[in-house]
Amino acid sequence: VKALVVGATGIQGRRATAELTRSEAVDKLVLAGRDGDRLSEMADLLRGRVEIGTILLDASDAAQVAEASAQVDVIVSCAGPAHLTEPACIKGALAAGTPCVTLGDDHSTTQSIAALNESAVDSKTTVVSGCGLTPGLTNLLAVYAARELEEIIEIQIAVACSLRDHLGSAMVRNLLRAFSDDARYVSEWRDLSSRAGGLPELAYFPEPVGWVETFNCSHPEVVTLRRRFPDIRSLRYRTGLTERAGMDAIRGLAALRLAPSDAARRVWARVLRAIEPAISSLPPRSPQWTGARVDVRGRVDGRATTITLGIADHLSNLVSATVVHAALELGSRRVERPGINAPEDALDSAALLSFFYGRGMRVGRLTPELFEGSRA
Amino acid sequence: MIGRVSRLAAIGLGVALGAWWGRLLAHSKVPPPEGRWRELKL
Repeated sequence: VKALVVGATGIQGRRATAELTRSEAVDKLVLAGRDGDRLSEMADLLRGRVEIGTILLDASDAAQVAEASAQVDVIVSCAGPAHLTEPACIKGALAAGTPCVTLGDDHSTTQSIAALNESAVDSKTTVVSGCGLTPGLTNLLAVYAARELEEIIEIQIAVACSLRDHLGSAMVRNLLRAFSDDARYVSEWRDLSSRAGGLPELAYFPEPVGWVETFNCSHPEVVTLRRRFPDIRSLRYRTGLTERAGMDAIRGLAALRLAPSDAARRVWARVLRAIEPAISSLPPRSPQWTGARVDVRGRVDGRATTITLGIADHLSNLVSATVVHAALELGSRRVERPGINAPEDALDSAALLSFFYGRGMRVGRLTPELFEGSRA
Repeated sequence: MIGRVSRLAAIGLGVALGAWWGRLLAHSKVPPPEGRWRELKL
C-alpha cells in the first residue's frame, strides 16, 4: 500500500505515520505538511523498510491534495481543524480518484460534506470521514453493541480527554468550536438542539480515567448514527476534560463568546497549552488518559437491556489504530464503497476491535455490581 | 466613586473565584464505581 499522510507533522499525524511504517502491508509513505524542516526530520527518522517521501502541502487546498495523491493508494488526512481541512482533502481525493480516510470531527462539516456524495459515487472513490477515536471508534463500538439487540432505543456516547494526553491544538480549537455552537441531539425521536454545555453529568470510564464530568455538545456521531438507526428514540453525545478547571475554562470562553473565529480559538488553544501546568495542579487530580464510553439501550426478547462498552488508553494510540486500520482496509481495496461514508457504514466493527486487540488494547464491558460505598 | 466601583468589582471577582474553587473542591469526591469493567471477549 502506498499512502499519503496529510498533516503528517501534527500530533496525530506523527503517531499515525509511525503506526503505518510498522505495517508490513505499507510499501511507501508520502508525508505531507506545511513545515519542510519537520517533514525532513521525520523522513530521516522513519526511513527503513518503508520508502519515505515528503511534500509541502496546504491541507486546505484541494488542488494541492489532488496533485499529491495521484500516485498513492490511499490518502490519510490527519490535518485539522476539520472545518478548514476536511472539505479540501475530500475534494482533492475525488479529483484524483484516490480513496481517502480522515479524522473529521466537526458536526457541521460532516453534514456539509454529504453534498459531495454524488461526486464520490460518480468518480468511484471511497471516502471514510471521521476515522479517529471520536467519531470513529465510538461509532463502531455503538454498532458492535447494537448487534446484540433486536431493537435500539437509545445511544449515549461520552468521551473524556486530557489536556496532557497529546491533545493537539486542532482538537482544542474544535472543542472550543463545539461548545460555542448549539448541541444537536435526538430526543423522543425528534432532532433537537440546545446551547452546548448545560449541566455537568458524571460518566464512569474504564480505569485509569474513572469518573469525569461531561457536557452536551454536537459531534458527527449524532449525524451518522441517526442515519444508521433512523427509528432511534434518543441519541446524545457528551464530552469532558479530565482537568475540570480546563473544561470550565473552555465552557467559560464559549459562553462569553470569546472564541467566535478560528483565529481567536488558535490564540486560546495556545493560552490553554501555556497554562496547562497550572490547570493540572488544581483539584481534583486528573489522569493523563483518554476514555470513551458507549451506552446502547434496547430490547432483547422484549426485555429492556443496556450494553455499555468502554475503552481507555492514550489518545494518540486510540486515534492512530483506528485511522491506520481504515487506511489499510481502503488502501488494499478490501473495502470499496464509493461515496462519502461514515466509519460504521464502511468498516466492520469486529475487524477493528480485532486490530485493537492485536495491539494490546482492550475494550471493556461494564457489568453493574453493588460496591460497599454505594450502599451508604 | 471609582474606589467604590473597583472595591465592588474586586469583591465580586473574589466571590466568583471562591465559588469556582469551592466547586472544584466539592466535586473532588466522586461516587463509587458504577460497576466493573470486564474485558470484552471477541
